[in-house]
Amino acid sequence: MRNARLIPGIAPGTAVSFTFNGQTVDGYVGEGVAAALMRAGIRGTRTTARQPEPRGYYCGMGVCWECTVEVEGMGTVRGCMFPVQEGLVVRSPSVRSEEDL
Amino acid sequence: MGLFTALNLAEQGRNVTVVERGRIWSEASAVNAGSLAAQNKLPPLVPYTLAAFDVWKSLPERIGCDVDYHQTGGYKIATTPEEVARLRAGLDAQRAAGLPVRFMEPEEIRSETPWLSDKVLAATYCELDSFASPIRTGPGLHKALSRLGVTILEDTHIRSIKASSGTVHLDTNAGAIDARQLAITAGAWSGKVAAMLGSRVDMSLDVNMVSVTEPAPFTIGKIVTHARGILTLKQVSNGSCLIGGGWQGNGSIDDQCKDVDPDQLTHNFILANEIIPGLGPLHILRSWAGYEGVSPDSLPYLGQLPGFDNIFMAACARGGFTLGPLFGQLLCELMTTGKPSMPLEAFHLARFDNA
Amino acid sequence: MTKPVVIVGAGPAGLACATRLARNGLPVVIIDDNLQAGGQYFRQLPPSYRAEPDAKLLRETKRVGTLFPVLRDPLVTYLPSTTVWSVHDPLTIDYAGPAGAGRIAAAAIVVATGAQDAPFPFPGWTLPGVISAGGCLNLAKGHGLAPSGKVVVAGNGPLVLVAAATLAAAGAEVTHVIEAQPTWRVGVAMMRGALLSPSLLFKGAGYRARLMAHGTHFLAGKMVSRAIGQGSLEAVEIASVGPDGKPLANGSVLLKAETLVSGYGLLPGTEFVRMIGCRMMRDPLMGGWVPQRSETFETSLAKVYAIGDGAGIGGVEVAIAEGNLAAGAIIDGGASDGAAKRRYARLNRFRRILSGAYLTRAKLSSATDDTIVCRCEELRLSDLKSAVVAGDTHLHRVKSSTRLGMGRCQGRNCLSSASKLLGLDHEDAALPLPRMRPPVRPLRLNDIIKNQSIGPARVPDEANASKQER
Repeated sequence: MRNARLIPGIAPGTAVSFTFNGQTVDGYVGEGVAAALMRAGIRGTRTTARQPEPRGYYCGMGVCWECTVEVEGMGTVRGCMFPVQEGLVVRSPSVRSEEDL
Repeated sequence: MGLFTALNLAEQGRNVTVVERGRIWSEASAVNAGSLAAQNKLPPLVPYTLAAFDVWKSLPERIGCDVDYHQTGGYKIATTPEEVARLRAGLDAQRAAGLPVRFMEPEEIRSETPWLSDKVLAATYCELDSFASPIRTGPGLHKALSRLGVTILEDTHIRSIKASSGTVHLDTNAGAIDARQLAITAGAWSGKVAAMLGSRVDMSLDVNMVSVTEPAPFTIGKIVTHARGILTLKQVSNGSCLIGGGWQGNGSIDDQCKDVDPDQLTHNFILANEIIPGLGPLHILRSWAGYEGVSPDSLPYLGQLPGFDNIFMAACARGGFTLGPLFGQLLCELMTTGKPSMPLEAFHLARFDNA
Repeated sequence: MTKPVVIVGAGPAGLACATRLARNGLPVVIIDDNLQAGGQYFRQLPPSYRAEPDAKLLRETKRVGTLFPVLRDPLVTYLPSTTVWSVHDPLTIDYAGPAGAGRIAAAAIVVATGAQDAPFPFPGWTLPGVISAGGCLNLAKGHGLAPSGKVVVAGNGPLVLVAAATLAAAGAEVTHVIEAQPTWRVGVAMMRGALLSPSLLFKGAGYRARLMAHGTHFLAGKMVSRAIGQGSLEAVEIASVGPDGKPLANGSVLLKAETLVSGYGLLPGTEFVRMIGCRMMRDPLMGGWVPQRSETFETSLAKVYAIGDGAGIGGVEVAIAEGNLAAGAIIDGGASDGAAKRRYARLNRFRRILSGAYLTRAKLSSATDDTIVCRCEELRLSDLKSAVVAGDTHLHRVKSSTRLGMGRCQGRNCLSSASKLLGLDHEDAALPLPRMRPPVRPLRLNDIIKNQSIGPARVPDEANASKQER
């Protein structure tokens, strides 16, 4: 099920596809990673380290970092501020556990 | 230093009052990077560092609080032939002082620590190097002191001190305080407190910078220090990396202002990234600066204030976070029995008087 | 070469300021964290998107044509996706971002950092599907998206209506709009402002009418008491606002929803001014702690100006007016701005009336002891309460003993709510919030070290060879 859809009358750019945690996701050139994931019905985009609980798009303006994802070759990015590209490999940020130490 | 001294005195049943100009646990020990590195100590301090580790180990049980103490071991790295020579030259003195140190050749470094860059030519390894969390230690100490009935007076400025044998009289903005003994454990301010008694204790000020990264997957299991003492690095239990090395920020204790210096901070980052390239993609979340008092020979002041039989000082430990728990104990021993369990001659306050 | 004026933030305030400065021949550098200029109000679709003339996207386009051309002015350097992370000496700035890093000696600094949604914790507010009002508007304006499924919009303040109307126009299924302030209170207060800005009142009435036509239920005097769902939002519990500002236990209702838009007010983005040490003051009608400013919007630091929502919540008209006036102050001390100042004074009165209309009698709170307050460090209200030493009025210690605000958001999404919930938000608090440490936003180490203009290293080793321990 989609979590968000294009507003009538908005023509997005060229379609691209990328992967999120191994799953192929459709996006548009220039579209934020978080927006593309919402259109794909992916709501929880990461899991917190301690509790653990799901988190996703919240502030939409780069303040809260709740939509943080990891982009291969790049590191963590704010999903709401980072545009998708063809072939982008995106993951939920790796969580550490205190037992690792 | 002061809180550990208070802890020891209170455990001995003494009636203790802590007088703090601002907030307790808010200066050097609270804002340092948490390294408890044995390899970084000047040779005369090594036996004290080893003894301090034992105090650290028993601390959680003693104060009833996890302080995130981890004896991970640590690498002290060298990136130039001169630095390698410096590492080698230091080995004998370190071993003689009782420190188990192993020299690592490049091949061993590549296989054991692939996250160190090729610029690292050699390293020494010491299994005793550790770290602890200043963030957890302070509140834990605070609670323990409250349980022991220690009076803590914050936002309390000392205006003047009068001392005679057997009594010390402090005049503060919060009223007068009379005591039998006084321990000056005011960090970088200790020299100013001593000056109120007409004593001169020389110290200069460092403004050390520390930075913390976002949490990252666990990679760096051990602490990293540098042959020239210009980098410290560790990954703490939430996955964040702490980057330090004594690069200097701006500030003075007169105006209470301390700030990072963007130039020196950037150089600190350049060096860290050269040695551990995996740091490059990580976001820096915070950088800050902290005061540190330094004596002319970089050795601590620990002992009686010359001319006063009931006034003492512990300051300028150059690694006060490491040594604080032990120095608090030694100072307590000196104040209560006059017989500290380790020799304190090298730390005598009057050692520069003839210079 | 003339030193440029550095403007931090490319929203309406920053763009208006830049436009007038450039028109007067002054070089300007605009530095902005976002990919595209416009701030939140004028947030743009990705450049490769197109909006048909009949697109169901409620947004203002008419002033884009007057505010945005400055970005292409030859006197203007525009650095998007970039953060100013240090100010020193005393008007030199260091910036960094994926596109590069550098240093600029500025003639003046104009801080136009805008606002964010005020954090408002309630049980379940961390569930995916709960989004902020600003986040909802950015989804529409910045990505051309509307949430699917049932949507509840809840909050306190003018933005609630704006968000709900935008969603309704976009065809989203907005079932309920929940406003904490009783309608009659908003109405009575707004009567005073009616003459100052009739157009804005018409706008508000228009939003209401649009929502009624859409079939949306409008409930006033109610608030969110919790959000429920397994893995993501499924339902929202709504309760009446009690006399203490907390939800009343009796008579709460459960509304099915896949998306909850939560808009409990706006918070000025003061991290930058707090980092560089501007003196702050507290003004509830401006959104809480704001920088002290002179009549020309100069902060306590000489030649550092603060304008727009980041200096006090006022909305787009106030932001543009302040941008224009700050430019005037920089150009000629504001000598030619008599009429503009009078117009601004009227806007300023109206913004305080609008703020006041929504100011509830008691501070709103739906947080329970079990509610996460610090989202990054996963700290519940009970964790924070146990760290507060009796009588302590400082948030610093709570921060250092719990890790409150030490995550990636750097305290933006927790410090203001924590200080309110812990009762540390006193009028007389000398230091309201812990000092903001650089960098003002998380920056990649790799991006910071790209700066080629830094001064020489003072290697701590060479400064004193005997210093070993750090």
